[in-house]
Amino acid sequence: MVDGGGSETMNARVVVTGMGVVTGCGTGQTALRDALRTGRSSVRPMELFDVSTCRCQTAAQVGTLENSSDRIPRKAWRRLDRVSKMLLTAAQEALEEARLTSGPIHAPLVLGSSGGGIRSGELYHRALLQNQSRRHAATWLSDYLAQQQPLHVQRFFDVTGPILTLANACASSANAIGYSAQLIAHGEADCVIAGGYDALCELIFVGFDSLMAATPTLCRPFDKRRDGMVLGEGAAVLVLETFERASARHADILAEIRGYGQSIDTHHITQPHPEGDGAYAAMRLACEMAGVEASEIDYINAHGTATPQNDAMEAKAIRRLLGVRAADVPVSSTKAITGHTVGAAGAVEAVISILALKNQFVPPNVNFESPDEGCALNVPAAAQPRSLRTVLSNSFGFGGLNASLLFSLP
Amino acid sequence: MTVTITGIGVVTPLGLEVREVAERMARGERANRVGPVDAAQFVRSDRLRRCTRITHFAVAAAAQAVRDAGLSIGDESYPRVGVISAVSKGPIEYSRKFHAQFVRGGAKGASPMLFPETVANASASHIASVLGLTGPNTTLFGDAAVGFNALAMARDFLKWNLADAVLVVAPHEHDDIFEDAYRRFRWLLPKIGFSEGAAALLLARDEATPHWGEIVEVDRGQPWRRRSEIPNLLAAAPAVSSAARLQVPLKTLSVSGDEKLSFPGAQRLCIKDSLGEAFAAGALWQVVFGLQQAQTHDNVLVTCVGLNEQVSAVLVRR
Repeated sequence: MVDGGGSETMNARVVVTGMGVVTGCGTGQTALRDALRTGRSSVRPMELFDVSTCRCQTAAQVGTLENSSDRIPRKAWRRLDRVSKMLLTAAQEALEEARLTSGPIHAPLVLGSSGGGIRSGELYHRALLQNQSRRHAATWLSDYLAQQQPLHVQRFFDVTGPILTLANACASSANAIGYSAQLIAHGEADCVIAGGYDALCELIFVGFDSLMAATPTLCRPFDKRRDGMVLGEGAAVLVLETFERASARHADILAEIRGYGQSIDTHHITQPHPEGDGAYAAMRLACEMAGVEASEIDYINAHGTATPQNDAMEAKAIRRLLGVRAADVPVSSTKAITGHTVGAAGAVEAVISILALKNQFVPPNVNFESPDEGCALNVPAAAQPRSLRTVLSNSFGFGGLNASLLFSLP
Repeated sequence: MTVTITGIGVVTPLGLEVREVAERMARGERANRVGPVDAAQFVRSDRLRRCTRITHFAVAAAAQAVRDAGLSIGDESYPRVGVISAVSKGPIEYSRKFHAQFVRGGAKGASPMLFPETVANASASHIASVLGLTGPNTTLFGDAAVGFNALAMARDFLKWNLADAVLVVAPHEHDDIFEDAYRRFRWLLPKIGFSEGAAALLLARDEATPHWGEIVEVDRGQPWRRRSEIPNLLAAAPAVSSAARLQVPLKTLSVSGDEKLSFPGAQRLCIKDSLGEAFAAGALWQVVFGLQQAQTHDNVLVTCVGLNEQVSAVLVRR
């Protein structure tokens, strides 16, 4: 193991001025916040493709998305792939909230995705394998290119900066947000549009199923009976700016990004380090960058996939970080509500963390019924009103990648 | 802060030694497929038993770059070495195989051994593990110019003191379906062959001994929407502007295609004639062979026009 790369304090204050989100819970912050408050899970039987031969038969699927932007022509909307529609919907909400809807936006676009447009590639591949019509081949192939979805954002919202697409598995968009914050903190940009997106696809669904990492029952993070994750899909976009720029244009400041830590376990391609060394390193680095003591953390939005290995190691790492406060600080995974949105998870959970700060509540860890001695944490099964000032969000991915983001109220 | 290139490594259809490949290109040889490459030839690890061709290419290039820089695994003079992998297509072969197993035989027919290797960041993870590189680890996706995005990110990591050195790797494996698709839709010129391989550059801060040269300027990439915009975007790219302001005339211009840039007296190098189109790997080959061709103290401008996303450039000094 690892350190991941030194910590530094942020040279400038980095704030969030706009957020947009699409998950199985619905479109927009309100739908997500309501689902979190009531503990309503969006997991349902899989309808997008045939999973009858899989152990797991459920997923948190995004419903039909309507075009809510007058910047996207109706004809163009109809031709877009699902994941582009999710990303554009999230971007629209974020840019509206940040009041960046008129004129070109000179900002880098830094997004994370594990699969990108892979579903389109699958449709093409399936048509080839089964000698089906390839009438849509051109669209499928161009949508399969990983840069295609960010290109749609650039085109429709007139974003003129460079594109960066990070593909760090389930840590992709947490890394994208962290890197964006560093770009701003070090004066390389004064505004960055950051986030992540991933749609359900056969390759990833069957992949986790084949590894016995997906649950045939219920997703129960940190529960003694947990037996795997449930996949989801979605997109989340955040507008990040310097505090000075946001203040100068009287933008509403939703939260501040105080710290970011990343690390790598060199332990195994799919399994985390059993002692959680990499996870601990990422959390510690985020706190060091923020100049925040672990004792100041009020809530942790855990990666919490509900696989036996992840939750056990994450609990160890969190206990190591929090010390005696581990019994008090609420820790919850929201993946039983949103599903594991893979490359989008870091961004979706960044939005959840900021919603928790903004609305002063701890999101619930639904389906948590039987505490596990190996995961001895304060896990709330229902949403709790609570005074929150500083929130940590974890995202870990295949390849041993770990990322932690630390948010606070401005 | 000066960013130096302390080690390079390549896997190309014309060989794995920079000097030999350059000589073969100079003789007019052309090739598009890399023969069997076993990364275990450079570094032994159980992690490589089931990995894809793209990972073998990446690890082989990375191990050569580390060796070229005079480092050994776990070298204490570089405690924090990061890895940035730049890919345009990722591990397509295993992705296709795994998906075909599912389509033909249902979930039970899909091998759990293949799935982890289909993830885009598998190569970067394997490199970190087998070479013991525990600095920041990231994989970037994009068109050919993504290799330059990776160089810019590596510069950031060094500048921000997140790493002592960063290994930038760009691997690419050939896939028949993609070639068919690209040909069918005329996304590439007919005369260019589809190729594969990898390139790796080990970057460090100025305190390290420069071996190959230094990066004078590297762009983050600028998006293009219409081909007619490309000449202006390229001319305005910081690395190209810097090259135009050089007091010593530019000697080498390494281009990805038919970029319309005028640097009188500069020798124009286009490796695609010899090595074909290898997307992200090809962009870093341009840097490597541009540097290889240059004389000491010469400046080399490397430009890349990606298929559908961005134009970018990097200015390096031998």
